[in-house]
Amino acid sequence: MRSKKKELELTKRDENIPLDSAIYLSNLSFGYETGKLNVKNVSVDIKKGERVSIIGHNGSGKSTLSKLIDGILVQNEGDIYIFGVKMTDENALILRKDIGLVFQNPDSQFIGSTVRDDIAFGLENNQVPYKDMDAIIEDCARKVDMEEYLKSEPSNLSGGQKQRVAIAGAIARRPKILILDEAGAMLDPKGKKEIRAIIKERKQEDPDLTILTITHEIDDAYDSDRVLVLNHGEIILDDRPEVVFENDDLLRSIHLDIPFSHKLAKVLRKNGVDVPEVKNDEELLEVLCPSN
Amino acid sequence: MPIQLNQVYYTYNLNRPDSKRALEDISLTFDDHCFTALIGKTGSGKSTLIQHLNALLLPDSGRVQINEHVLDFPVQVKKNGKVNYRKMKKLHKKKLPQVKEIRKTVGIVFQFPEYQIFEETVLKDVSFGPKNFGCTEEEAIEKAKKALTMVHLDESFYERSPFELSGGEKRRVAIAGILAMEPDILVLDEPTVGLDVRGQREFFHLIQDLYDQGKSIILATHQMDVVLRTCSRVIVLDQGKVVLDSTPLKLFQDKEFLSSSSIEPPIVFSFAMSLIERGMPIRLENIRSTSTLAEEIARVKGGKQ
Ligand SMILES: Nc1ncnc2c1ncn2[C@@H]1O[C@H](COP(=O)(O)OP(=O)(O)O)[C@@H](O)[C@H]1O
Ligand SMILES: Nc1ncnc2c1ncn2[C@@H]1O[C@H](COP(=O)(O)OP(=O)(O)O)[C@@H](O)[C@H]1O
Ligand SMILES: [Mg+2]
Ligand SMILES: [Mg+2]
Repeated sequence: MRSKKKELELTKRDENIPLDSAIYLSNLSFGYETGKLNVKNVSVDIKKGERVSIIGHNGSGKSTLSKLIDGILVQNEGDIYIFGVKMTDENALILRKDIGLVFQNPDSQFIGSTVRDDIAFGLENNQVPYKDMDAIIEDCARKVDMEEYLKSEPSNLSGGQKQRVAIAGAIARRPKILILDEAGAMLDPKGKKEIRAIIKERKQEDPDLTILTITHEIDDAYDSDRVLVLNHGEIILDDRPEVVFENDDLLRSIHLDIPFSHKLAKVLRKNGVDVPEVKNDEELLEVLCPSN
Repeated sequence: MPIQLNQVYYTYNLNRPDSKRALEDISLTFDDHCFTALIGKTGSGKSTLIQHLNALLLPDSGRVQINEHVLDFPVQVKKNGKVNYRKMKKLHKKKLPQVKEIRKTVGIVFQFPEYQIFEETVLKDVSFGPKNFGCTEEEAIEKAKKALTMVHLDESFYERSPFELSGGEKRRVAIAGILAMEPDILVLDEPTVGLDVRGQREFFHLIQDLYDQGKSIILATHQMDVVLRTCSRVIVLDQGKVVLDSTPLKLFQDKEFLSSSSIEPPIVFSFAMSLIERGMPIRLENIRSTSTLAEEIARVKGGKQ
């Protein structure tokens, strides 16, 4: 085991990075094969406590970016700073302790032979004392409604149940940065809501928690402070959700959905019904059928 | 009635401490050329039921009939006075010559079907199934080409590596692999999870297309907009039981049922309901999508028709 002193040396902040920065990416590029970049020159500063969504078409590089931040992949160019500390081969494992990443495909995440072991494994990595483990595991499993399954083999669970376990494992470690890569994609709408509520609760308990949500769901994106739009590996938009979802033409051009009210208003105009620009469903309802 | 289930029960890990009942007393008939949705929350038994439709799983009791092929358990294998189900199933699977026939009749597309892709070119991958079912190389290629046409992948894809395709394209290759076996019934288990919006839209056009070409479609999904748009029948599972067997139109109006379940009508439908509540005389039965809703509103408001 590394000495405390060595660990401190490896995690020295870079003074040029703002103090309130959680994830600072500077000109980050990565390609799986030579001659092709799947993440292109990405620069962004995600602040402590910010809730950021990343949206983008299939293959735009969202999962790749999250793996770079978690130090699973190593960039070809550029730098990653976690809380101001530049990530290197030597300190990546230390920095990762602050990051909880829930993979898009939970199958690639399980290590333990039972759900309990699997959650315990992550805790062990973070040096949580053994005497506290059971209580933490049970509490997190209860939160995601998987308490009954602690003894089950992860491979026997359904896709949605696996995602719940993966989320339990991530929040059990109490990371300072939580990255959810389409973490609710396999859940039904109620399950998705439950997960949203769990994350909200964690955020309330720990307002400094930084959350990065990769999603195709407009609801998730609206729930965040800031939306990054990724297209062919590049960030092409970085703004508040209200602003991003105003931009119908752009969203459509990169294969993303636009809010229902915008869509209906557009089709109505095509059908010869005169409707003004509306912000949301309530406004459109009021325009079409004023309540008196 | 190509598929009939009669009082089907299924429990995972039967007779073990971690046993888990997944299906309970399921009796259902799927007609020729149906377009049926299978819905219910995660863990309600959709995937388990689906695996009974082509003998990937066999019922603990009850029977499944697929065309003339019957799957049930006439044999009782006992050990120490207890039925040894595992052994029984093993025996039974071996003795099921009809399984091949069944798999030709019912094709299942699983979640993330692209994980089942393994050959180095698209054409090889798609012709694998028919070859495995005893077709000659030429016949298999013929069927593969036909299947690829059905999923709108043209000749330029034949020699490409499936691994280099986009998510949506990979999924189409995987479906072509199933279609090449020429099943009459196509069963899809949450097939668009992980696809972006355009990928999803293309995918559902494809399924609609296959239905129009005469296939029966059974679709497990959480996407209620798709259920409303495409399905004529909807079956709701809860804790391994069928709790509703109805039409999308009836289901989405059944406030009592909806409030006791985790199902929410698609936004088009709830928006239409709100308009009706506010007194707009639109006809719910005409509404299946954003564009049909817009047409209804235009009709009432006197826009162009
Ligand atoms: N292991 C890999 N090897 C080669 N290419 C890959 C690999 N993983 C992803 N890619 C490619 O990198 C691009 C970005 O993929 P990904 O980050 O998974 O996108 P997203 O998560 O936005 O759908 C895609 O073109 C994909 O095909
Ligand atoms: N291989 C398995 N081993 C043990 N239990 C399983 C297995 N697959 C599914 N189950 C259990 O059976 C129930 C039904 O699961 P499933 O059919 O996958 O539901 P759905 O597809 O509706 O999400 C769930 O409680 C699930 O945990
Ligand atoms: Mg991804
Ligand atoms: Mg399932």
